[in-house]
Amino acid sequence: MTAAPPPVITTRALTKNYGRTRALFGLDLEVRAGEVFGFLGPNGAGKSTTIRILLDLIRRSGGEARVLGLDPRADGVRVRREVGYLPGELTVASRRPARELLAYLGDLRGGVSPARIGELADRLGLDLSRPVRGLSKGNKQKVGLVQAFMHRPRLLVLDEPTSGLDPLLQQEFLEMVRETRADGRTVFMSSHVLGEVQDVADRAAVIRRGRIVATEDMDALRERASRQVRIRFAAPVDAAGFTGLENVRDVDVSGDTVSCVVDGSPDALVKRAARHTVLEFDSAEPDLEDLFFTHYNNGTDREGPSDAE
Amino acid sequence: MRSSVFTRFLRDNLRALVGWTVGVAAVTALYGSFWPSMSEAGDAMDAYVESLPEGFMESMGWTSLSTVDGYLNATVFGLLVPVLLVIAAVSLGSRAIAGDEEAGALELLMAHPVTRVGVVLQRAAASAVFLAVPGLTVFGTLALLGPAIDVDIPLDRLLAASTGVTLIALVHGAVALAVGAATGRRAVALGAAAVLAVVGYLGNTFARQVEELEWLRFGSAFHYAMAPDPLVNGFDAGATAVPAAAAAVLTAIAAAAFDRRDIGV
Repeated sequence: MTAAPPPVITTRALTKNYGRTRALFGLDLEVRAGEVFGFLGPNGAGKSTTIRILLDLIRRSGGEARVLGLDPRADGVRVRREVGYLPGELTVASRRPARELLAYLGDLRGGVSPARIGELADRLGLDLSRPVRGLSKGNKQKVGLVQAFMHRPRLLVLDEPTSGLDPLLQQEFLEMVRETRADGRTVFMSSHVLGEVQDVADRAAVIRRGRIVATEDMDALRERASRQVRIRFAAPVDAAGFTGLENVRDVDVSGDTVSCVVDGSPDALVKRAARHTVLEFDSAEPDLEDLFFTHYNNGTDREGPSDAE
Repeated sequence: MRSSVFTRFLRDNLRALVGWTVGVAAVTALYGSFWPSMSEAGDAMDAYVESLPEGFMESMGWTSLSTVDGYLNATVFGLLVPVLLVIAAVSLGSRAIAGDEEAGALELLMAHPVTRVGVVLQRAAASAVFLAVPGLTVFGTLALLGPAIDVDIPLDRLLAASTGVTLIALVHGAVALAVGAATGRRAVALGAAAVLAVVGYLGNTFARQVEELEWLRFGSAFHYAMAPDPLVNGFDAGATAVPAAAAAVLTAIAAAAFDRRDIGV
């Protein structure tokens, strides 16, 4: 083993314009072979646009893109043969059963055995005999996952894979992602929620308004995440007891309720709260819009990059 | 991808295919079966026709209602079947790319190892097969019922006339396909093909009366199917080749346009 294997996805200064509106502003991305990579950003940040360029569903306006060493623009078919893709919004309207749709999609890839389809469907609890048209959102998402995983692609590109799945199935899905990684294959998954990828991703990039604002290890990212925490106690508490705690800021105490923002580990806050009787403990999902502004900004660019530059 | 896209498109449209085929067969059988009574009323019919305003017969494309070919041209081949087939073709052609795309269903297919050109060509070929079924049904219905309803036109002429009306539909379907493939908008594709069909039909009929509009006929698919009068003269190589070539060129344009643009935005 000498040099690291070539990256599975690279983009350099990738741009995309829709008419006069610019959706991507020079995106640089690198996904390494065999990793699970989270692609995080609020809705409308450019996640799906990027993914669609990688599959040559839409064409870049500038910059470069490479998937599995190939330019999707020139070698779209070869790229797509090696990629399993779950669209962000899966529309399937056939009156025919799911089994038939999956067999057809398998045929487009040279055939996938019914046993393999059945095995994945069983894992996700998908009834293959039901017409796809009448399926619930969650069940359609299962059809999407089965077709993305079934041919054991070298690269999985999953756009918001857990949307519509209940928590138990989300766990099963994450297990499938881990198995894929154990197999040496690569997973690129997008989400607008940090929580959906933090348990499984090795690294993540955060995209905001068409720009990558950070790429780093998941652990480091989790460290940076700020979350709004609210604790209600059995009796009113003293504000002074909650100021100056490690990682805790913007403390607001009103009567028996403490609200604050926690950056990274809430350890100090939890230990201090434990001195009182806690009735409620609410911790909001970190807001991706905020994720990088507390740490990366020096107060100069609070509003983020302006679209006019 | 072999022929999966082709087969799947036909299967997805099987219900529509059955519906249109039954409809075309019913219309053909119904109007065909009126012929014996029409021919018996021949003299009265001719008198009625005499009473119509001058030019009316020509503008409707009617030559005579007292001969079997004239009658079938005025009913089955000149109006009802072309209208039905054109509607079927335009609806299918606009759905093949644009409709599927607007519904959001095309993205999943295009994320598979298929080419844009391949998908357009396979779906265009499936659409041609789709239209050939009701087209041949017109021929089959008249061929089967012929002896019973006094329609004694040779089979090759029936086939030529059925091919002619099918080609009209094919051309308009290809227009809808091309506009849809280029724009991704089903309504635009439907509209463009419908306008062209109406203009083509009227252009062909008015051109029969107004000399200055004669040139209009050559832009109308209806002209190539009807002017050679296939029920009397049989196949006409030129009149068959022109619409077939037009459909092929439109399909090539559809493939090229679809290959060039973003999908689903």
